[in-house]
Amino acid sequence: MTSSALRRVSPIPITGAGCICAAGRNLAESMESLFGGSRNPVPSDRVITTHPTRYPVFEIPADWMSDEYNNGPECMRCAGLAVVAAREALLDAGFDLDELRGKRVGVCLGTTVGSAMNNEPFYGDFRDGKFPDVQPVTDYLNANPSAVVAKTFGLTGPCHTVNNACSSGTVAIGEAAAWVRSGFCDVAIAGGADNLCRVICNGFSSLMITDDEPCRPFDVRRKGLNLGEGAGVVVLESEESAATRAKDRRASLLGYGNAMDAYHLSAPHPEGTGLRRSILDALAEAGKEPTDLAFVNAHGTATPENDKTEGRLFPDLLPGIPFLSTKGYTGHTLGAAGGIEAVFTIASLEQKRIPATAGFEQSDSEFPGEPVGEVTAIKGDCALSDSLAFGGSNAAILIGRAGA
Amino acid sequence: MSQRIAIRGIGPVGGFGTGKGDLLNALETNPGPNETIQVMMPAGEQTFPAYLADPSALSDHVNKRKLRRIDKFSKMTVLASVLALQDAGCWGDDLDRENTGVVVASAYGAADTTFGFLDSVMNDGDACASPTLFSNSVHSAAAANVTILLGITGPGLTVSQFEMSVPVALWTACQWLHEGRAKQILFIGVDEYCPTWGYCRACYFGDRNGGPLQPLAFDQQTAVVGEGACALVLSLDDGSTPAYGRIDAVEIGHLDSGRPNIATDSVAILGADGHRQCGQRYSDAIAPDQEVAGYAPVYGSMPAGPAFDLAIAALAHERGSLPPSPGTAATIDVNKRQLCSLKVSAAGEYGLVRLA
Repeated sequence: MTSSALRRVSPIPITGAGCICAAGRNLAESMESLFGGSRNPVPSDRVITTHPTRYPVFEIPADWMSDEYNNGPECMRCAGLAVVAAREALLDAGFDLDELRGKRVGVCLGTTVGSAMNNEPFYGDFRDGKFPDVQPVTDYLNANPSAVVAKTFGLTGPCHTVNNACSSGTVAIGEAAAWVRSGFCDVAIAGGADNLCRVICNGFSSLMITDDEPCRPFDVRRKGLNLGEGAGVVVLESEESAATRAKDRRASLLGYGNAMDAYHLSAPHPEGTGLRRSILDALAEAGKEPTDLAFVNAHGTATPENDKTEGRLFPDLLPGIPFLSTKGYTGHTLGAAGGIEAVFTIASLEQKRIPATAGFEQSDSEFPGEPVGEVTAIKGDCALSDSLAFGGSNAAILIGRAGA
Repeated sequence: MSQRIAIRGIGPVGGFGTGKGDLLNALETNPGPNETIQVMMPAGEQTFPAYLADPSALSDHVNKRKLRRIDKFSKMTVLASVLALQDAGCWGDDLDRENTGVVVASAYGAADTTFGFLDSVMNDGDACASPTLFSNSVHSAAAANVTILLGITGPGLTVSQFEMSVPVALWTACQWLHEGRAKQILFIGVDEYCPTWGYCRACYFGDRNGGPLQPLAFDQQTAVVGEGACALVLSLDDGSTPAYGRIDAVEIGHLDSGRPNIATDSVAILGADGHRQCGQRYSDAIAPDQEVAGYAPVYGSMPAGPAFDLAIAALAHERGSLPPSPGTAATIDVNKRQLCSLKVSAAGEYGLVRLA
């Protein structure tokens, strides 16, 4: 089932990509970690909970962030990550950052933590009748990641924060492509950002879907996810804008699909109905068939239900197409995941290879799908990146290799 | 936009009541705030007026058992959605679930549940954090609950961009229709009050929370807290005459690049809701002789307010006239006049919705 009226759309050039995550302080470093198979999730010394189990997380080292963000309010951490990734992406796209000031450049970022007022000390003092100063609230109002990116680079185009939980980054990229395609803006910065915090750690622990060891996506022994943080951002441009700057694209955004499961607030539809439709819609927009795909960058959180859903769907809908999860290297970065995985997909298409699925060793007989367990050469000019989220949000984007 | 968007149904839920009839009544009688809130401050307890919504009517439309774990934020959103779908004549078996999309615009999301989750941690420790409250605290929970309770499987989106939430989300809703991503969109603007926000407002604005709300007094702080949800059912204009008119265009801009282009003979419904910091920006955004209206005194001060303004504009199209802005006497004849809805943020961003 696809949205029957979806038409094939024109590809949107992706001229820049950037990311920061536990795998690396930029995209090149991250890919080096992925292809080197290195990962080291450990319990955080910054985000402390009182759970008897100290869950390993994929945290960004303090010296990768500027003092401004390390010493500033916690609520600015998400925006700070977004700025780092956006800067890398804009420079990668060949922009002089000063030339963007006052230009109609859009910013569309996905997040979960970045939009939530989670300040525990403030709230604790309020509920204890201590009449706290509202500076933390003011800080929160000034910490919207899209707004901070727009303000940092002096951008006056459309500014939009997507809150579709864990599919936010993928949705943001798909929506921003529509902005450029429709002429809403000529350039758009799109992706996602999220950071580790106590609320997220406590929340996911309460759902009993976190692993006390490094996660094992699609592995029969998987017990749940590891949380992570970071940001992944792409620069989308109109053909005209890219042409005037004589800037070669790194890739193209070919298609986007978005559909709801209408099933459960915290579990995916077991038949993957929304995911199926999202993938088919992305293929339809791109004018591609499943056989055209080089690979799928799966959501692959390592939770029992998510991986079962994807592990059943991929062999059925996309038979023979290799898939992988990169969350074994980054953790589940929530709203940032779609952005980070999009830039990983771009880099993998460029290198014509995909990394191994870190943590996967033994297949699960409950589903026929098995991710790649080693670095794998790929054929094909386009790849899919999909995301599933709380509440049954599903999104998929199709990315094409430059020059294809 | 190459093709206009028809407004087929409206579903307002707020301090004025529930549904089109209650909104019309409030536009005619201007009852003002329906509740009071108490905020404890260092100087003692303060009482402020408020526009608080009651979504209990949702149980008339959805099985009560399915609502057990759903918070007020989601209940307001779902109720507004149900009312809008009923108003559009596509409720129950007539709802095209596979081809309906859901777009929710909210500045603060499920604020009360967010703090409720923190309560669960602070009361009983990290290991006793509530999974139900956590799942419902995510901003997208309302959109999710709409799709789950109504069985909708089209695309879904939640946008949080403070005062710009409604216009930027509306742009996407219209874009989805143009793309063919859905045949109709349930568009909902929603924001809720919670005691923590009441304390914050008291700190920021002190006794200026007492109203009365005067949205067109741009240089004064007169905001009165409001909460509610307002849903619109949107579809591509198929050439028929939609009862509520059409959205001609949604424009997002920044005052630093110039004013929005509003024809002098049109009527601008301003999203001004009594916050002085934004009020000055409205002065910058409109020509001195622009005919304007402001209806925040009907539903209260909240970033989702423009969704209610669009519903009021839709009613104006249906009835041929805009009711007087609260505090004024003049009904505005809107036949052959363009209506628009304008929301401006303190930072100078604006969202302009042109209606036809």
